[in-house]
Amino acid sequence: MNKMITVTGLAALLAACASAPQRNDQLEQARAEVQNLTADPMAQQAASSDLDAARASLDQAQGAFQQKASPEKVNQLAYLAIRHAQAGEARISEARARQEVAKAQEDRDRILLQAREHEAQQAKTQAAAAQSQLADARQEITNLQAKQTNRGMVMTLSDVLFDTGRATLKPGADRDLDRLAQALKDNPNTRVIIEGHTDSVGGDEYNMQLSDRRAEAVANALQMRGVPADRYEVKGLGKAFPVASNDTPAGRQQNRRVEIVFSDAQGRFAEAAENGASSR
Amino acid sequence: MSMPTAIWTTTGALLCLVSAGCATEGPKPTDELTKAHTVVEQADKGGTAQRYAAADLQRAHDELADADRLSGQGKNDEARAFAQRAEVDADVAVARGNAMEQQKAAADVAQANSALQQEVQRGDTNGPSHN
Repeated sequence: MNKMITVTGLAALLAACASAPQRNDQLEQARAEVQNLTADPMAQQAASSDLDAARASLDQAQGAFQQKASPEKVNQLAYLAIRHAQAGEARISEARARQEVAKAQEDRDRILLQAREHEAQQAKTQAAAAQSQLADARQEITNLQAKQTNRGMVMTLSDVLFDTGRATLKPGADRDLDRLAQALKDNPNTRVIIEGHTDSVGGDEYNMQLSDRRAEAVANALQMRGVPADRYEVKGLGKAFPVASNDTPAGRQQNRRVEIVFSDAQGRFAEAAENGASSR
Repeated sequence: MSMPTAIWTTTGALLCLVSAGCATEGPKPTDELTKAHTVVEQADKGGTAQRYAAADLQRAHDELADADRLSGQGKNDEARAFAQRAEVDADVAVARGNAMEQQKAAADVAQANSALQQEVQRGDTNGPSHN
């Protein structure tokens, strides 16, 4: 029995020595790995020395295998080929990841640029909207039948809004005063000078007081409509600034009036307006 | 390890034992050992191999220790084989560590980008409501 085993073992040993193995799995794996690496389009660029080393080891392994060298020798060379190839694969992965990082950094710049452009566009749109809102508000003043003069925009409230010799506003003035108050609310930086004027009938003192009271009446009406007092100045100018001849009833009627002088959108009055309606 | 490989390795080991007596040893693998020590040392120093490819690096260390031991025992051919393996395995550990590190960096940047993109888009949709 013992003899049997020894004979079988010897036979196997002799068989192993006599005939070269038909197949070496490690060598097969090495061939496959080197083939994969060779096929990778980035191999030359990213892993050329690994590829060279892997090929050299594979060549040696195949040579050893053909020359029926010991399996350890073939396995050793095949192992080296496999590991060189695997190192090469890793270097290619690294190079790919590096490209991704570079691309991602470009993406980041692009995203930031888009965000900046978008912000700029938004700011532009907002500015345009604000501008057009401002223009609309200024248009409201023009719509009050205000006229452009060297004192700025001037709106005239005619004397038919007051009873003769009185400073009480008639209900007919309401519509104009409503629109004036609204225009002042919509133009928050615009201020007005409320000027009272009379015709030449009666004494200076009387006319001065009457013009004062009429201007005050308009100011009160605005205040009741929610226009704060710091938005206007009140001036009674008496009979000093007629706009028509005091020789005719029609001319005198034109002279009895309250004028609303508007500042610009920044609250600045024209120089002529500050000087007290001296020229027109 | 597949079955046929195991069989061949076993057979190889047997053959080796049988032939050890008659085969003559090659010269001491001084160069191979020096080179393997250098490469393994560099792999240790780099840090990324330890962090991302610890198994490959450990393998290189084990092989290097085997190579030193076998060389000390006068088993020059085996020592040479282990030194060569240690060197190439340390190289694999370094390459894989670097690759992992770079991939992690790529993932981080990509994530940061998508967060940034989302932020920008949120700005887009919120924009008009501020007007």
